[in-house]
Amino acid sequence: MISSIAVLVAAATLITGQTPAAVSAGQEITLARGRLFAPAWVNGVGPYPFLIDTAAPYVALDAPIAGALGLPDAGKPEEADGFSAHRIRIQALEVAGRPALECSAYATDLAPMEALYGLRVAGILGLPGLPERFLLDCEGGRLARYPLQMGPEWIAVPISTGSDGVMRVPVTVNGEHAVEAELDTVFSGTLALPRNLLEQWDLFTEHTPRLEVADGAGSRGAIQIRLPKCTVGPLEVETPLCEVLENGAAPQLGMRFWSRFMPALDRAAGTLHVLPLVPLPWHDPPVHSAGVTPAGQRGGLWRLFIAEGSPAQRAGLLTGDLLVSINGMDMAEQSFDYVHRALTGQPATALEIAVFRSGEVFAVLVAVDQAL
Amino acid sequence: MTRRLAGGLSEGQRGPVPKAMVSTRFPADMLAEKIP
Repeated sequence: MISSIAVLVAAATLITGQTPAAVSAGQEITLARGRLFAPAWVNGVGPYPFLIDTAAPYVALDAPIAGALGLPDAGKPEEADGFSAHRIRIQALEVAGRPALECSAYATDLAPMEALYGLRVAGILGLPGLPERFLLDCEGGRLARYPLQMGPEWIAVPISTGSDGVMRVPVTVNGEHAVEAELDTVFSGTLALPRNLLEQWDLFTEHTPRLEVADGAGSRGAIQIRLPKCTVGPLEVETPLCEVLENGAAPQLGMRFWSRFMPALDRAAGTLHVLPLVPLPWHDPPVHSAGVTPAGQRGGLWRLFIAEGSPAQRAGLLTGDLLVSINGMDMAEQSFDYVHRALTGQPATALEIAVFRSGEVFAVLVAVDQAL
Repeated sequence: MTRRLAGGLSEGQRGPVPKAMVSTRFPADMLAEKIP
């Protein structure tokens, strides 16, 4: 669920619509920063990149596109999922080869999401916009048709659907703590649990090893920890990576999990089957990091977020330093993904990071090691 | 882990930036002007 989209006044660049194209057995989707984007056609115009959000009980369209398509704002703006939006009606929303659907949607300014995902987001494809049955094939990059024939390799996972339509799966942490987690394609990690639950279970204390990464907004760090194990329905996961959410937030299972279990959902029947792409039990792999992540741009240079206690901090880097180069590779005006890859490095290596701070350019050598 | 690169930098040590490492788009002397 998108819970913290700052409503910023930004000069929105309209994404130009092209000729409608036919979609058939499945539709290519794009994986960007661990999130899925599907091309969608709005009233016959497109394709527009829509963020697939299985935890959003709504469809949203970027306000400038809604205006250009003659879908004017009506009535007073509403607060929806943390952003201000107008209700609109889309006569025909086409995605993944299913028949065009008439649906209600929110028109809102999605320009701030470009900083989060590195591409212009034209809309959010929440549950009302998704097909009733679909298969998320992240490796193949397809939002595909639901498999009609399922062999024994497919594993049934129980789901419950709330009154908001959001699907939840039963998760047990360390064999003793049971919660229901939202199937959330916008959360890039494995599992996310609220801080108060983790503290109550003694799984998050001041001594718990953690990794901080820049959150979407860039100025704060999202905290990740390791849990000993969890189960998702019948699936066992060893050492799951867990993000610590604010108190009271809803538990989530994200793309680091779903991209390895290829979910096939039949929402009408209330069934979820997964095809594990990994040996079971799944060992959630370690994260190697220098403790430095890109967090927003300034003048074409990436601003760095430096985790507390990380090799990058020990090496003398500060949050706010502007990245010039990594191992001699120029990082000015590069994409988030390019910079992120360059900063990730290989385990037990070092990165020579050159930064600009207070009118000076200098380099430091930063270790990359198993961070969590 | 301590590593020495050709320039003699060891882990955490702050050093000057070899010319080859400075952004070709924004040379060091232009950065202060571009980003005050």
